[in-house]
Amino acid sequence: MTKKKIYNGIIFLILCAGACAIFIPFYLTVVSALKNMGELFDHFFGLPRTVVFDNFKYVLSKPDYFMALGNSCMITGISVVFMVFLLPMCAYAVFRRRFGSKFYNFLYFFMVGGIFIPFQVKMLPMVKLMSQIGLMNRQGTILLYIANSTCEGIFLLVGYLASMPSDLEEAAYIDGATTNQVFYKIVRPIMKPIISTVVIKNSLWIWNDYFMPSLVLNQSNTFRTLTLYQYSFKAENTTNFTVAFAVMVLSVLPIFVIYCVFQKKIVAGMMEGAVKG
Amino acid sequence: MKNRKNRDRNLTHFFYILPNLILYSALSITPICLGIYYSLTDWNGITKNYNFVGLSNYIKILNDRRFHRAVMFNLRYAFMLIVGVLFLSLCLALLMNYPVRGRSVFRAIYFFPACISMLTIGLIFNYIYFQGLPVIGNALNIDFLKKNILSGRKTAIYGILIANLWKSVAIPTVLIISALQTIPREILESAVVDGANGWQRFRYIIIRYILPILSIIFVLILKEGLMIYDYIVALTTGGPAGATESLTLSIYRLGFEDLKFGYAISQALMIAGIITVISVIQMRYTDKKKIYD
Repeated sequence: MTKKKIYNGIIFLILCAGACAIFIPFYLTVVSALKNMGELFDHFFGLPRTVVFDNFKYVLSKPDYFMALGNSCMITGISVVFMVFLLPMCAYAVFRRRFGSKFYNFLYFFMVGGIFIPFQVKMLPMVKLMSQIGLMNRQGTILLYIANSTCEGIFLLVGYLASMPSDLEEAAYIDGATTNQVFYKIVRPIMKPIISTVVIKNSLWIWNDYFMPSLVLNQSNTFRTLTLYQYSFKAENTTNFTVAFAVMVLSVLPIFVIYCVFQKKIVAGMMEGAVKG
Repeated sequence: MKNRKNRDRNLTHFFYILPNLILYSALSITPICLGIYYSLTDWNGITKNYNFVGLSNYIKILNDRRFHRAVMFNLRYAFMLIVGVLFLSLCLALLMNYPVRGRSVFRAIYFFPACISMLTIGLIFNYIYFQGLPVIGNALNIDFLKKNILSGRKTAIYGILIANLWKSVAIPTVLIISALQTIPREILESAVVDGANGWQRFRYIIIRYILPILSIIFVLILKEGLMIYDYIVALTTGGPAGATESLTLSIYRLGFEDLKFGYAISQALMIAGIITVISVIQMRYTDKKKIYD
């Protein structure tokens, strides 16, 4: 019994050490954001002797941060709303028709096959295409996200539907329901768990993405997302470390709050998305 | 009556697929087709005129030293990343599988890095390498820590790797934990009765149950390692002297900065071929896993 207790104690300590390793970068970020420059160079690891909020004031006094936050919220929000609306419809139609119609079966492989194609292949021609049709802006980014979520979304949703029998739908049709009613009253409620997986995975992807915005949105400062803002802030303020740390804190904060509230759901959603996606 | 109903259903289903079909074809498939076409030309990405050069871009790749260097960097990086992630996440998962106090809190803490942007993590680590590590190096008198590890040609790759590991261990750990929980208790208990020690239990029982998930993690991390971009942009931007220039970064630069648009796409297509093969293997493993369930 005591041997087991010692064992548990050791494991507990190792896990604590690991948690520290996760924690230290955040600690340094927050602490550095609350120091002034002189103190940052004097003792990087210690707590601030005098807590200064000037760095945060400086960042928040300019409109850039709020503009970037707004852009990130807008692009993530609108893209995900469209995905939640469009992907289940598409997946349901493809799933129900796949085995009766060659067209829909082709469509399934056409859409899911895209999973195999890495983003790097698309990126260069995609940028040229977007600039030719004048969509190097937020609207264009949203369209690109929706288009690029199709493969994985359809794959996840059709996979989830695979076990659903058609009896319920047939019964509803006999009772005189329209196709829209069948979908929205019967099928969509069944798909709720997998839709929440799609929402979590895609929200985090879009919110955290740097590559796509850096390709499409780098034309103007007013379109910058949070990740682009962080990067350009670093490029513009190469010596002003404390302020840069304040920017980091302000960028991680929204995700941190959301993670604290929805932790269980986020972990479950990301795991499901990782294995099947 | 029935005919009318069927037509109504057909039409509605068609409208269900239409928006995604249009967007996907226009913005995902069209660029790929255009890319395949451009890869056969010498277009620089700007001028109106370009020549059709056939497969010569692809032949040029074979002798391109920059491409070889990037491939070697990515392979080395992916290998180290896989070893690191598998080792760390397996250890963490085995430890967290014990009924230790505060297990769910640990899980919550360990998972959080998975939710932050790679770019943010890269930038935070960049500042820490720049500001923090030399302080430790000077205090403890360790030579290689005295200067920023990102500024050394040999050490920069480890700087990127540490930042990447810090984030990428999270999801595999949780995946392995859930695989560990599928192992029936009776088997492990009877192994203890039969006198199997910890290592034997791990070697002959546990590893068999978690092998499918380990192979999925292997492929996921391999893909991540081969496509690495955000960390490099945030940490080294390919330097010092191109030592950490990854394939994605090299393609980006060739296409947009060096004005070799067609050539860059042909490189991208070559890599796509490799990653496609890997993805197909991944799919087959995932299917096999379903059979075990």
